[in-house]
Amino acid sequence: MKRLLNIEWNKIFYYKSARIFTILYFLMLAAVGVVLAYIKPEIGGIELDIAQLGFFNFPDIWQNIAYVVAIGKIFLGVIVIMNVTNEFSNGTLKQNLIDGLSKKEFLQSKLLTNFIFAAVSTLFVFAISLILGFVFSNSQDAVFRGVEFIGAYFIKLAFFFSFCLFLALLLRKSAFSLLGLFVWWVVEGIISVVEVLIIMARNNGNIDPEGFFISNFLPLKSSANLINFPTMNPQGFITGKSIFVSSSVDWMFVLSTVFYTALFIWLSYRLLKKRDL
Amino acid sequence: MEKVLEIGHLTKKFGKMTAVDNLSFSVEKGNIYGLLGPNGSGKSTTLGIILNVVNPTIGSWKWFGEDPTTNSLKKIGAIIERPNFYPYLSAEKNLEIVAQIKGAAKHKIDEKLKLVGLFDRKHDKFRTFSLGMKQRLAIGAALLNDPEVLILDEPTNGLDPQGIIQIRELILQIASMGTTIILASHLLDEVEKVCSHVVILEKGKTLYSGRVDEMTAGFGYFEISSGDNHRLQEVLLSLPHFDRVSSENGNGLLKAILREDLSGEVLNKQLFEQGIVLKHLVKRKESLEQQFLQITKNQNG
Repeated sequence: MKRLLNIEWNKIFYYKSARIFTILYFLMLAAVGVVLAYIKPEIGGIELDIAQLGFFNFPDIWQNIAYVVAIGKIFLGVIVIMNVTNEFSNGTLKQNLIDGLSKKEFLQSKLLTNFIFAAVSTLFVFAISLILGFVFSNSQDAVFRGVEFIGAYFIKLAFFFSFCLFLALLLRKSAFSLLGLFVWWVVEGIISVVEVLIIMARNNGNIDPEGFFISNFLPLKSSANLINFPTMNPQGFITGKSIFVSSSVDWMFVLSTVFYTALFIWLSYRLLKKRDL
Repeated sequence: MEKVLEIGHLTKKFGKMTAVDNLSFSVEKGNIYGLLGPNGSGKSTTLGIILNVVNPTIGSWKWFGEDPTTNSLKKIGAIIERPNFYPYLSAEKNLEIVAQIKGAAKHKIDEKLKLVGLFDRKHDKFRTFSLGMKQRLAIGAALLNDPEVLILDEPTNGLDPQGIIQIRELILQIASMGTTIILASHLLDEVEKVCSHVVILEKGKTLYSGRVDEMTAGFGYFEISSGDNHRLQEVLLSLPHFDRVSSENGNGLLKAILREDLSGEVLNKQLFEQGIVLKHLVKRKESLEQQFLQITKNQNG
């Protein structure tokens, strides 16, 4: 494993774009924390201070921060894709295999990199949330009660990178892989809409938004459902308390996302094994 | 002789196209093997299979008498098609990755860079290299683990004459150290100059497999002319030594292909006894190139 890490380190660390984008990504995460805490825009004469709304209160802060920074995963996703498609365009995948790296070891080295990216990003988000919570939370009780969202964040990233890896191995060009990601996302959206329309047609136009949707368990959707948009209650705003309602991670989505992660890793392996390079 | 590589009944189909067709040959230790064939004859596919990057349809092969694993690959150095490296890394860093994959010692990097004459450029990025330098770096990388076998696929392709000479000298130098070399090429001249053994492929099939010098084991032919070539041709055909006699295009020379060994002296004497005085008499053996063209032609016909 140390050998695979050494190899990957040489490949990525000295690759200028990857280095710059990784540094930018982490600066961005830090900046999100600073911006959320210290920028208070005025809207219609009223100063909007999200700290006042209870955004940074324990235990809600874990979900809130994890939800906001999750979009940044695209950044690392691009690096993950480039890291694989470059091996195709440089012909180095072929050369690595000829030099005696097995296909399995190649995949392992890429997965290892992906999981390290996910782990470092998770640690970073954990630290930011903890610091902002200690500074701005109105109560220091139950600090770690919602910390499961940080675990969900790791699973979400690990899934996303595995999916990107699969697309990169399948399509071999970075532009196509990113396009593939976008197309997949659109297709999932269309499937969701179709399902809603079918249910509404059956129930004379009525639908329960909290009801069960199969499309919620599609790969990207299920990983998105790990960390939902925080539930809010305007009542809290009127009474001057937090408007956020604590919630928890839905274990069904943890299971389905882990399942998809394993599935895409397995598909990647099969693809690599069967393909003539 | 110790066998380094044995290929048995290897076949590879891409859809309907058969790239390698029931190919069998073996490579003995310490020789330079040429894998010769026109473009598209299945050379690269064969190398791809024995190097684990192409899956065979059927067939098997053995490295060093054992079924192939990634460990056997670590005892081989190979370059396929073009030099493949990370363009943004220096020569040294690129070799470091190869050394990590092969499990070669780090101090080998400088040693091999010196061997291929790139030691002075070791901190320069791969993308700044000329094609000849890239090719030499690839050979250096392939030699990192002091392999028992070196596989080169079209190593002089696209190089200028000076680069070609450098690479050929390097190959002979490596061979003199006892490394077995398998060289794929579509250039007869190259195989003739460098190799001791040759496997000729066409459309995925073996046409010839054996020593290069035994390939020219035919009895050769005479280039011959006299004042009256018609009469000469008649007399030649009446003698028992020749398969056929053909007039060559416009140069006034007949080409008499031998059926048995015969010296020029004996032929000259026999013809003189028949009343023919020769203007021209040269005995030749066909070059590999002509043989190669002939072999492929026979197969097509």
